Amino acid sequence: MFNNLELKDKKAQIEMPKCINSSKRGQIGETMTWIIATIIIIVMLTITIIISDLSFGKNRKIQTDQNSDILASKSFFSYVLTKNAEDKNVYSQLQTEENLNDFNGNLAIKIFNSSYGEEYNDLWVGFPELQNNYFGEWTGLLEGERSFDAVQEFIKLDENKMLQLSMIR
Amino acid sequence: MSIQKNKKGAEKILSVYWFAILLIVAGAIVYLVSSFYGKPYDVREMEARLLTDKIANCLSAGGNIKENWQGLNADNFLEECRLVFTVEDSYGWDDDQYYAEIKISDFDSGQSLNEVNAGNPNLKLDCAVDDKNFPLCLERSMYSIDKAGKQYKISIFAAVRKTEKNVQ
Repeated sequence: MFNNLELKDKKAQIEMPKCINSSKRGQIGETMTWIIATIIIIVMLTITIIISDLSFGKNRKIQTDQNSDILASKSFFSYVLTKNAEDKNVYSQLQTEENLNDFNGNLAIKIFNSSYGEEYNDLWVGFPELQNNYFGEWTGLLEGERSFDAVQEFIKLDENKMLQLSMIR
Repeated sequence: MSIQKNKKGAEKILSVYWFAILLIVAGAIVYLVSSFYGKPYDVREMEARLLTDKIANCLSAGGNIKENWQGLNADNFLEECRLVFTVEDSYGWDDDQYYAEIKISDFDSGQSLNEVNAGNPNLKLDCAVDDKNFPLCLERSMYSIDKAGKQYKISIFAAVRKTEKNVQ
């Protein structure tokens, strides 16, 4: 009986170190997992902070409406009311003529190029989709179309005729 | 018994670790939010544009220049155009944060016919410096005619300071 107990104790003494070894390995593995997880979390947070600092931190300007220009619109309206030597305004001239003439074409260039030429890359005045000698090929948008960088003004001359001012940044 | 004790110790260390991670994440979120919302929006360009638009509306309506434009002067300009240059009572501002200047000239000859200004004229001197800590300046022009058909060029200059509130 005593011998049997002694034998069991000895067996237990032999088995214990094995169990502790495998537990230690498990603990090391688990610790490594936590360390790597921590590093990933810190890296992710750092990347997020850097991105948000670079993208949102610098330019905090509020942009104004890019599709309207009150001063250009007022100039355009005054332009069509301007009279030539025969006391006929640009509006009446364009109602009866096929395209811009010397008076209203040169006047448009003088008004819009001098006031808005630096601000806008492309200026165009005329009948939509129709080339003219003063501003060249039509570069505007059709009525109702919108572009973020474009200012479009239309004045209706009659049922089928429109005068367009197009300014693109 | 010793393994059970180890487990309890490991759990305690883990909970400390979790608190540390939680603090790091919370700190990062606080930093992100403060870096995004802590800096002010620079609305001076918008203010200057609104000021020029408002002056343009005052000087030209229905395609014609304002009827009594010859009578505009530094004393009545703000009242005629319904402008108020009073600012909030902070940062030691003394209603000196805005400046506006108009120049009405003959469209063909370029000869100046009337020049009016209001506000703090010192702001115009600082416009030469292109830096966010200096006033934001905007100069625009428009074309107009009077009822007799005479053509004019109207130049509008606006400057807004308010750097303390818009720049950090």
